[in-house]
Amino acid sequence: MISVDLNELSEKCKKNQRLFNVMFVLLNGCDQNCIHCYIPNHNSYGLPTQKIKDTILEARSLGALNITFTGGEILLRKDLFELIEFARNQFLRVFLMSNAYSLNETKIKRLSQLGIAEFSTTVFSMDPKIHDMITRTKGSFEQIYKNILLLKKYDISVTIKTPLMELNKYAYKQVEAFARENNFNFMTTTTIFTKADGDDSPHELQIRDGLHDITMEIEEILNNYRSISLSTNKEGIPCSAGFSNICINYDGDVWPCNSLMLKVGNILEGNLTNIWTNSVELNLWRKKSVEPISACTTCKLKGVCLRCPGMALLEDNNLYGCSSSAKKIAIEKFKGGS
Amino acid sequence: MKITYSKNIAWQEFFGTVHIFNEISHEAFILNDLAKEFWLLISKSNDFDEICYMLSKNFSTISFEQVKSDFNEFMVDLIHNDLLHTVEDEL
Ligand SMILES: C[S@@+](CC[C@H](N)C(=O)[O-])C[C@H]1O[C@@H](n2cnc3c(N)ncnc32)[C@H](O)[C@@H]1O
Ligand code: SF4
Ligand code: SF4
Repeated sequence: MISVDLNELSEKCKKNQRLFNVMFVLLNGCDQNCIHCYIPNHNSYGLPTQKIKDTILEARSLGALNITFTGGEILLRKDLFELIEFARNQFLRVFLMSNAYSLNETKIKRLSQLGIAEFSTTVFSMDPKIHDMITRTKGSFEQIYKNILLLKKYDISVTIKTPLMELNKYAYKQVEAFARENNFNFMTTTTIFTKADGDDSPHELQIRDGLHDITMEIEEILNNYRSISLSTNKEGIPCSAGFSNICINYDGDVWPCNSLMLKVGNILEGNLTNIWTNSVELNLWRKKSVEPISACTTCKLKGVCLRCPGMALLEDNNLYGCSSSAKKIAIEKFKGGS
Repeated sequence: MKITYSKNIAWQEFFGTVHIFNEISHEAFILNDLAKEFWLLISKSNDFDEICYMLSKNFSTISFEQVKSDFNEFMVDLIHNDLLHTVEDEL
């Protein structure tokens, strides 16, 4: 076996503007109703199957290796397994993001046969009451706990995510222990962001007290896991968005990343190949985003700040400006001297 | 012999190299040069002899017989690692 450094490969793709990851937000419909969810409405079941398949073929020709299906809740799409099978027949690595609520052993067995690369899901707490309070779905913890253990039984790689709010601010301790015991990947964050339509009510759920200690502790924990690599270097390519990554929303809109909701085209009006190569908006982003961010140049936090351009656009309405949510975490890290 | 890519893999060509991932065993493989050409030709034909013939035509310095004997062992190795199947296996 040859060990392949996938980070190195994706970095090389980023530098060469070569597609590596394509993400489909298949729908916004969902069977849960999480209190913090950034999706304003859960009313669309997404693009026609054939359009998605055609776009998968294009992504493959553009050089993609990874494909991610997310939502809303992907298990609600009747054609989900057909789409996964189609992507696997194109020899793509398939990553799924789902709340795991409506999985069952038959579906998990099928996922295992299809050889998916990863199933990523969300656990808010190991206390069923708190988890269910956040999902506003009675019995959801019990259901997903059972399903996560079944995913393990069928040897499917699992990532567990735990967004932290005031309600579950210490949950990372037990969820991480559960992930470690079972050999799952783990991700956690204290960033709870605005809804996609600008409604900032999710901010009210953010951690109110103890943020400093929690920030420092999760920083240390996350060093042991694979996580998204955001750089503190504010010069050069900021992240993979639009450089090696592209996202197709359920209405056909194309964004550089699912966190960077900057419309660069729509696959119902054009096609992915044309957008990837010729989109004026995408090429402008590629050109401007590599320039230093003036707010950051003189900022004393720049050594610790992990700025996400998507958050800067969503929350501060300035794609090339300071990100208030990154700043909030950077201040805590700065106090801790990291 | 008829050959085809295994259903258990993901693969893509990056910067002149083929990267293959076995999604069941979680092993990764890299193919360069002639091995890469051999791999890419499987998308065009699933007949081992025909692939060897195409390779020998593309690289005129190597004879068909030479290609065939060089790649026989390599192909067995790919089959052993569940990266390729013989078509009979798929049925
Ligand atoms: C939108 S969901 C889609 C996949 C699936 N339905 C799930 O919940 O895992 C993707 C992830 O975003 C997280 N999320 C939703 N709203 C958020 C917000 N306002 N801030 C931070 N994370 C959020 C969810 O908890 C979940 O981990
Ligand atoms: S399960 Fe996911 S998509 Fe559904 S409401 Fe919760 S966070 Fe939103
Ligand atoms: S805190 Fe704001 S200005 Fe400072 S480095 Fe981070 S994003 Fe830039």
